[in-house]
Amino acid sequence: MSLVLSGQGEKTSPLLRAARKYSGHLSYPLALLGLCWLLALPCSFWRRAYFSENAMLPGQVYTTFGTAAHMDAMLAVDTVLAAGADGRAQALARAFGALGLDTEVQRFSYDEVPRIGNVSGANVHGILRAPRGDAGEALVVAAAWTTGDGASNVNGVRLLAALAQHAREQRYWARDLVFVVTDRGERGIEAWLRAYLGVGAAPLAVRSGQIQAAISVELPPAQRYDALALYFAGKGGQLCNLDFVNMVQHVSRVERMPALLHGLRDAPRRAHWWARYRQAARLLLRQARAQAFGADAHGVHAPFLRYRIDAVTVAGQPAGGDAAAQLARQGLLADADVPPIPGVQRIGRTVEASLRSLNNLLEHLHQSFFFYLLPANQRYLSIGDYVPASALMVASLLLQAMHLWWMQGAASLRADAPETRIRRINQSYAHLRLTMPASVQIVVRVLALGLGLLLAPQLAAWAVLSDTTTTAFLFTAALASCSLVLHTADQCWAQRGQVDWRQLKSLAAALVAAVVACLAVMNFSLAVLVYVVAGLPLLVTRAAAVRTRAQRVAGVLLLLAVSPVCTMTLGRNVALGLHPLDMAASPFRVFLGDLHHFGSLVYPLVCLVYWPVNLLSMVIVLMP
Amino acid sequence: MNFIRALLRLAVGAWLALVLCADRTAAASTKRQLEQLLDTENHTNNWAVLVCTSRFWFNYRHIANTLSMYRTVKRMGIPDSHIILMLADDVACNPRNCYPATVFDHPQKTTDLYGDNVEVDYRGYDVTVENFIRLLTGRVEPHTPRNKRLLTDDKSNIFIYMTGHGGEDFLKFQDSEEINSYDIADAMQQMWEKQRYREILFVIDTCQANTMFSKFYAPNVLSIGSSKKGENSYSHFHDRDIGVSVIDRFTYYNLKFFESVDMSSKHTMADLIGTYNTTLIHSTPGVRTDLFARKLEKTYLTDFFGAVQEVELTPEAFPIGQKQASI
Repeated sequence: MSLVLSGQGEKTSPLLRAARKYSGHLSYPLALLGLCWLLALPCSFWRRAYFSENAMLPGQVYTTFGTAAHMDAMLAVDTVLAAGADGRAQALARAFGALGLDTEVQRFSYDEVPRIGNVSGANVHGILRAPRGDAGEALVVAAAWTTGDGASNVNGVRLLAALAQHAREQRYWARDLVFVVTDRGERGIEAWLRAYLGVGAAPLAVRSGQIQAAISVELPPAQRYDALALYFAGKGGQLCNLDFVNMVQHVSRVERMPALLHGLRDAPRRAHWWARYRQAARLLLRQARAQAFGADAHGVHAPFLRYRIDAVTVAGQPAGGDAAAQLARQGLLADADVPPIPGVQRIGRTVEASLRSLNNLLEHLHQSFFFYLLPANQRYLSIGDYVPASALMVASLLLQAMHLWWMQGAASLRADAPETRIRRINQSYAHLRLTMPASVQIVVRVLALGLGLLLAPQLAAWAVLSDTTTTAFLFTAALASCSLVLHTADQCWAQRGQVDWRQLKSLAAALVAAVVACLAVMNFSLAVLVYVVAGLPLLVTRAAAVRTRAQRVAGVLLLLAVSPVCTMTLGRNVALGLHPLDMAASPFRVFLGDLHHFGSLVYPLVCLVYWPVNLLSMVIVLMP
Repeated sequence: MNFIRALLRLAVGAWLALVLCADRTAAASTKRQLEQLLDTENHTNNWAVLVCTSRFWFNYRHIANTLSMYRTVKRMGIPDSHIILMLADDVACNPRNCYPATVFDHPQKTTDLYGDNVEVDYRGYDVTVENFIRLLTGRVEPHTPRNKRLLTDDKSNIFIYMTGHGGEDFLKFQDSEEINSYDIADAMQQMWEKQRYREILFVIDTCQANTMFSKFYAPNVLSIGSSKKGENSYSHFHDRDIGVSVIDRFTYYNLKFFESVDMSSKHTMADLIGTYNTTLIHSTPGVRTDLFARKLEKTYLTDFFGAVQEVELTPEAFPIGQKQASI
């Protein structure tokens, strides 16, 4: 008798029987193990970061930025500021032209969310043609007129002008340099990129070759910078090549103004292990937030990553109680009052050294990792270190699905006697024929609601998406969901023999497992988040038997507490990286806008996975 | 009267015979002398094959290595017609070079290696494994120009220098292919069978260089490598103006020794190898002498690096191309 397979007409093997009996219980420890694996990531056993690309030669050449000519070039930006907000683009184009760059002004307009909120802006870009290069490729240095927080980024534009003056004095450029200034932040750069790459929008007239890499500069007004901060995640969770991040960190350390990941310093090595754990966890959570939501905008590097262009933002981090920075954040600092850039030589030389290293390359960065988590500066976790966590989580759901599929139907279907085997097969087939249509129908109904939620804001041209109508829309959707759940439960009770909650839960678990597994490689943080808010509640739905009405009501209320509306209302400030008292921003609008502009997957996932699975869990609790 | 005439004829005949015999013996002796001259124990011509197997900007130092060796070999007397120089040659005019059209091997930039009179025979993408082996074995295409052929004979001494990125038993050619030590060993054996060399000095400066000559089996080959198995070879000077390393340690210390050597020097291979200092070179150079017939103390540097010609003076002129005196 074989150990695993049961032969024809023989008793089932003991191993298979044991598996069928206990596998259902195994899924909970697996889920727990997956979560514990995640909790173990901030422990200090990480690997030291290293350079994979030999051609980069980072920090091995003298930097020459900082002469009087470069500082004087910044004065050109002051004359641009004098032109006011309307004439700014043309004035900047003239200033770039005076520096010897090929310039163009791109006027664009876009909808903030589909068909709503027409916004217009202008991008100015100037191209420094490499004197001896062959114009096959380009490097981009980008800045916006405002920072992600709404403060003025005039200092960033000033640095751009100084860098352009420095670059035109050099002979060693192997590729063209493109200096871009936008006045609509990330959306402006997205419009510029689409025009540059010829995707959709009207193409630019003044162009260079393929963009190899981009550096974005963000220098909020301040009297002193504590450190530089480095941001490297795209809107859809794409990460730039780890070599690029390591290189910028290295050259900034050579210039003695270290660029810290997300602006966070490491805990000192002699600190208590809990302090080190906490600091690493903080950095990992910041990265998870940036990767999952892409919502806290720093600099304009994020749109490049969607088009497989490695990009980072180098941002100055004002010291804690800096007066100028606080005024700027509140919007009370005029452009003309912005103090000069603190540490401009060091920041300029950092960017110069990064551009020099990128110039040394022959190909796109491809040697180092694209999937990683960085728990500390100069340390990394590769995909093999963190993806087993999601594998365990997916395994728990799949195991639960298999167990429930086996356990569906009457107990007689699972008897052991070999002589009744044929009859049991026929009975199970009959059971499936009876119950599958109902289960599928429920799933389809719930997904249809999700689809409506996804498409309605994009198709409705007449609805004005202010905060009131958004709230009304979501409230209506929530009500519709509740009524759908109750109606479905009613129907199930009416046709008791035709529905099986185990079958439905099995299908739902398989769906979530597939989504999480596919997402885990593309966007790990988002996959874990989907699992935690949709998969875990599904896992524990009806884990214990529900007999009384009170138990069902309690289950539904708990599921309501983890429903999308509830979590996004309560967690909005955390998710979007907002100030704790900021009540004005709407996650719905942010995610819808991100989908419209950057193809971010958060909104579709909420509509087609999170919301439906939450409703399915409620239906499962209420079913007979 | 008849008797006197017969005696006279006999005397003339004897004198003629004597003269003819004397002539023949004289011809035989000069011929023997010439044969003795040509049948020398030494080599009669010198060739150099200098190969740089790397390309790209960050491999600047390999080009500088090879060009420094080229300059040394020329200074010691081997003419361009007897030097085969294989370089990717993408460094001097690289846009990243802030001193365009120059190649330096020292941060002080005293000598421009690429200055004047550099004759590159195989350049760019022509530097391939196939071309190298064809060059050594002589199996070149019929249309190959003269400067791309190794026109050696059985009395040639060849100096082969290779540099680039290597590993255990292999050497990387231009980022797309590799040559391994068995290939070079077989090529040298072919050269021996076709009598294309008298002695070879094989010098290689890469990581794990000594493995490259570990598989040689042709006779009369002296091999020197920069590092042993499992060891890297390191670069020496880093030029922070240009932004790259400009020379490798092993080659640098070899060149330093050659600064004291000129065409007339009597330095031997033993002297050169005696100056190798593992602490300075940061790797262990290796020498393989078991295939080499002569002792290192008796092998002059100019046997390989120079074009010293032996001149023999004969007491009388030798009639080249004139007919023998006939009667």
